[in-house]
Amino acid sequence: MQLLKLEKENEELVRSLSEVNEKLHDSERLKGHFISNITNEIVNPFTSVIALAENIKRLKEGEIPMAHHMAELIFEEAFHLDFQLKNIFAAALIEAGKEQVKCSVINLNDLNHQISEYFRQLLDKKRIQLSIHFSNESTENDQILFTSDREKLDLILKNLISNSIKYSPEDSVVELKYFMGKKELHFEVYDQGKGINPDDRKIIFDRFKQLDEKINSINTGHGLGLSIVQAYAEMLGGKVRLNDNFDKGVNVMVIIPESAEASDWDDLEDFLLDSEASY
Amino acid sequence: MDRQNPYFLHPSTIYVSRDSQWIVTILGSCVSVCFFDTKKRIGGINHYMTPYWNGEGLESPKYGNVSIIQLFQKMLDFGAKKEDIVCKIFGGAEVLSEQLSVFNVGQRNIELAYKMVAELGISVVSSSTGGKLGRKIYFNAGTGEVLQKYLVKSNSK
Repeated sequence: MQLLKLEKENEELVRSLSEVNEKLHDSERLKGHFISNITNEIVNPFTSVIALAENIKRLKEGEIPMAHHMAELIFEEAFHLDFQLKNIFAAALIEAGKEQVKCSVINLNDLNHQISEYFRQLLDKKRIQLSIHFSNESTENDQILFTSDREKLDLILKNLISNSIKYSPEDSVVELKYFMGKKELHFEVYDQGKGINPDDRKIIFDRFKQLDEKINSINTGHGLGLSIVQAYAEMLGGKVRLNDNFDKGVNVMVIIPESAEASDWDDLEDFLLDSEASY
Repeated sequence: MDRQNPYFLHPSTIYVSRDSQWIVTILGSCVSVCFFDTKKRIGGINHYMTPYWNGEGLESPKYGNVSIIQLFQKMLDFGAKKEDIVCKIFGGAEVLSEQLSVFNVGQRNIELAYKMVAELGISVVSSSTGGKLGRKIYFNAGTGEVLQKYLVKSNSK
């Protein structure tokens, strides 16, 4: 009986070990793939931007509407490139252990306003409405203050909203809901997309995994977004939870505690564990 | 930078310096490995949360096996010599957190630190690990000194 139990445990361990092995193997492969891909991902948009600018230069009088259209395309290419680079640099800093947390008092209404403006063109193009609201009674002009790392919170929100826009159908709504808890901020981003395939749910936070591989499309990103969301939320002492509502879309909830880095050194009865004399 | 105004080391990060600078970090089940080059007076410290990276998410110094190697490499980049480096290990308390699924994480973090430091061929000159209480430690990168305080209110970091 005991032997059977041990055998079962052993089988379980071997299975999970081989799973991890496969993951590491995958990861190495993806890393190589990523490096070679990134050249294309950066070079291609630049090539498009240069070509489009050239075309605008050659336009004749009376072709101004064409220039508008091309400028829009340039904006889109440059926007995605810029966003991807932000994520790539963020991931590189996290992996190098160099990310620092810099806290300040954030006015959430300001932050929301900036984020709405940031995605304006993408939202308009798909006729998606970005609806932002707080659980408590507040107006757009109220000061809703929260102490945290503004840059990190900004990139967390941008990645969640960018994903939602990407996977949402046209003429739909992306919602960002805030709840101010006791010394913590909850926020959720909802979309009305097609949800996540159950097989993909396990890998959604992995880096460089994309669920919707579209080769040669610059709008796909590197699948870095959610792994950055998770790493940043953890750095701020928070958590991320993903709810897949299948055909009703996906919602991601993030909880971030309010930062307070008060030093209590004076109250500590510290003791010298060892002095340099021990060397 | 004096002790009243130390550098705060966040979880999943690494810090190496040649200056006589105080670095503070708060450890629950997490572990900090402090390296110090006794000749060149270079100090470095990490703060990792779980032992091994399992291929999920970013390969960051949140994971001990990534963090210790990165810290060691950074020490060498700063000019430290392997034979002059000594090590101190802290943290790994059994802090009751919401994540009871994280079985024995403190103990596993400690074991990993000892194992990897031994593999690097570096000797551990002092340590304060395990137990049930969180710790606040101050490490001076220029002298290798460590001050420690047990936290009565456990912190799940």
